[in-house]
Amino acid sequence: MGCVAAVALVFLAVSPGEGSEVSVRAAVAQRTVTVGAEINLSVIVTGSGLRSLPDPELPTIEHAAVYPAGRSTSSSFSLVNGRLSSTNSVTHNYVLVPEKEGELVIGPITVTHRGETQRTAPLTVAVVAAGTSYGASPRPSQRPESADGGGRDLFVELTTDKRRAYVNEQILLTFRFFTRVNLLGQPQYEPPGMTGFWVEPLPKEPSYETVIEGVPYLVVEVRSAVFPTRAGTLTIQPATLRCVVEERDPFSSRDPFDRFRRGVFGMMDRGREVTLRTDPLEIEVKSVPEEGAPPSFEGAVGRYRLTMEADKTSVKEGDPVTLTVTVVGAGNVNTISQPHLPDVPGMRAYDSGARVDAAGSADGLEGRKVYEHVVVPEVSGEFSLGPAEFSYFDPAEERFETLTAGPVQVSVAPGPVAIGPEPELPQRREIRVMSRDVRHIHPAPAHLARAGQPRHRSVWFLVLQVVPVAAYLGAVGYRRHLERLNEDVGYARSRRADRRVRRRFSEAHRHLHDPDSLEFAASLEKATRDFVGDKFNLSTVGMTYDQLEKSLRSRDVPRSLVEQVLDCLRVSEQARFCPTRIGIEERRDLLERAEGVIARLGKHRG
Amino acid sequence: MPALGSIVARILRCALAAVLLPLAVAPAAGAQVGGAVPEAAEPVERMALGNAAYERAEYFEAVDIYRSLLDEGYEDPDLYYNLANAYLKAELLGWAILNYERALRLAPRDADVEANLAYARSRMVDIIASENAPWLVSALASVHHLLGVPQTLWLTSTLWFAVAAVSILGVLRPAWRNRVRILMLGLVVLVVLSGVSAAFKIYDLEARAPGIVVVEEVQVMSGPGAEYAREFVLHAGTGVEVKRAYRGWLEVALSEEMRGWVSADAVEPI
Repeated sequence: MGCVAAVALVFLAVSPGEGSEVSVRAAVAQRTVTVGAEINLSVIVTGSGLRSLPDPELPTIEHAAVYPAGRSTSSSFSLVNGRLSSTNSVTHNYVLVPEKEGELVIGPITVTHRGETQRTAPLTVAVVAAGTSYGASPRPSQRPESADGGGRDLFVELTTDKRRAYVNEQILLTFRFFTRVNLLGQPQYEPPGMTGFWVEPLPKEPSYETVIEGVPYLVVEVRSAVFPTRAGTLTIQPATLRCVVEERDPFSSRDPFDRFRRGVFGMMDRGREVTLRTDPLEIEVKSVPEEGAPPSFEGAVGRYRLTMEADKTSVKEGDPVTLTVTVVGAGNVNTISQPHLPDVPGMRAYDSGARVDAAGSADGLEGRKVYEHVVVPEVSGEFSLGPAEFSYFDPAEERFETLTAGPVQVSVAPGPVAIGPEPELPQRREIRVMSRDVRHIHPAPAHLARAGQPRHRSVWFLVLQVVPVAAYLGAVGYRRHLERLNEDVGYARSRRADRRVRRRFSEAHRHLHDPDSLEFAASLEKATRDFVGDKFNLSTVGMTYDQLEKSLRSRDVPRSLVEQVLDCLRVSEQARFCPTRIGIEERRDLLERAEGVIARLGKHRG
Repeated sequence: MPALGSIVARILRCALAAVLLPLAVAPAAGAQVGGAVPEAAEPVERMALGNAAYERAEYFEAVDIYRSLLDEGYEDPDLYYNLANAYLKAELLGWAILNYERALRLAPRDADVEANLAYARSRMVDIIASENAPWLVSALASVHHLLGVPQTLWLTSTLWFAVAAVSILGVLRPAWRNRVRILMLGLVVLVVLSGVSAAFKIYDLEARAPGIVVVEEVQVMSGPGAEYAREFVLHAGTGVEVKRAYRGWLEVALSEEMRGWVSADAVEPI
């Protein structure tokens, strides 16, 4: 029931028709045979999503008889993004029997499907005369070992593209692993011992299928480019591969769904560890012939090209020019020596080193080695740089080749600063004192003064030091005076009494000779009243004589002086308010009396 | 009789001194013999003549001209310096150091005077051990010796007037009182320092009376007379402190332990 369900699922999911593809591959199991021996040719037609595949069409093969040897089919299924797809393949086996020695060419084998034709690449088989040994040809160096103990399920081989080579000539070394069983885990590869060889690994090639004696194998290759470093018979030691294989053989079952079921349900199958080892290989290495070697030959073997270029061809003195010399070709570019460049007078040359850019391909190791030279022109003019020269030995043609590149023309203009030898500097050393003496005399000054008394004994100098003290005390006194003027009204009036009475007397003097003027009398009265008021801090305006007398008496003003003050006031008021004429003498007398009274009153300390 | 004897002895001593003193200073006055000093010329011109004599290597003549100016009361650090140079060239080390010291008092920062004084001292016989003072004392002493006595007095006086001015400003402008207080404090500190420096210098000048040994060698006696015991010997250029004078003898001291009496003509006060 399970098997029926699976078949129903396949036919429901696979949709043949649109997008289907057909491919064809062909392989021969032998590359060299004797006349009359069998050549096994397998043609594998593979189609995706097709229930039936077209048959291949063989070309006419001359000098060989062709016999069909049956066919076998296989299918595989894969589940991608939830969709199930199927791939079917049919292997058509043929047996070819060569009838003539020489090169047997099997032309393109074609398959036509829906109008499109697919072709295989031509195959060639060397046919030798019967009885000829061809042991040097590549053959499996390890007999296939059967995982189940009976068949040739997996084996390894180690081959080279040549068994005779020159020192430093490139040899392609290929390790192949053939298997037709599933592996459990990643195989462990141990490269062969390569004493006497420079080894450069090549990029990994994708695995492919081949048919040997009617049995399809999956082939995995590991390739290297090796270069012998000395002459003689060198041995490439065996390579080893360890892997774990399934104990069951999926190809032994005829059930087309067996592989699919194993993929789903066979996860727990047990494996068996297998160790495969190749046979050792011997390489005959010859030295490069010394005869005919050009002087510039430094040991390069292979096939190369040489180029040279400059980054600029017009510079000034002292400006550097970079020359780039490149060697490109197939061979061991790592060991290429520097191409020869002739010296150029007037130029200083510096090597800036080299860089290697090597890459492997199907044909072996190829790449380039780039040398950079920096040259600095010391003088102006036209210069020819090069040519660069490089020689190598071509092993295919067995002759030396000499390559040249350049020369490059460089124009040098005069620079701003000439490059000359550095001036010699005197040797530095410490100053050495030869002798000591006194410093020289001083010139006569502009003026010579007699020695005076020492300043600290000078009286005026000492008195001068008192001035700051006096000034400070004066400032303090002045500050107190200002403060008292603001705070003490009586003090302020007393301080201004003299100034005011002088102004009044000045007015009186001005009107002294004016007989009709009343201003004279008014000035005298104001002078007297204002002075008494300011002196004793009294408000004398409107004050009667009695009140004035009492006030003055209370301030200990002598009676006689009080009488004189009052008399002076009475006379002044009488002259002011009574329009009787007063003579000039009387006015002068009155003025003198008033000044005398004020003077005596001013001296009184109340 | 004792009084008469004393008078006679004094007369004899004075007569001896009158004879010996010119001999003692003969090298210094040697130029007076042959030199015709034009005293009528201006003092500056005479000093130039002394310089010319020095440059002709006639050092005694130069000494005579320089000394004549000093004797007339002229005083100048360059005059002392040139005189000291002439003495040094004439191999009179004590007189040279004496006049370098006098020049240094008037011009304490003159590098030439300091250099030549150091050079002259390097030729002295006596070695005076000096104690290494603490760095603070050394620094203060360096500042103290930057100025001479007149300059220090002027500085002190100027700072004193500045203190008074700032104080008056504070009195007349009460609002500025807080501002001027810090300034006045700083000025007061400077006045005190400058005043102390001036006081020390005046004390050194008036009370210590430093002197220099001007003769090539002098014996220091335990008392003021040749009959006393000889205690030690001093040589030209050595600095001493003159304690007192007594009958043509000077009591000098190098330290409290080393003091004694020398003939008055052997030491000249700075």
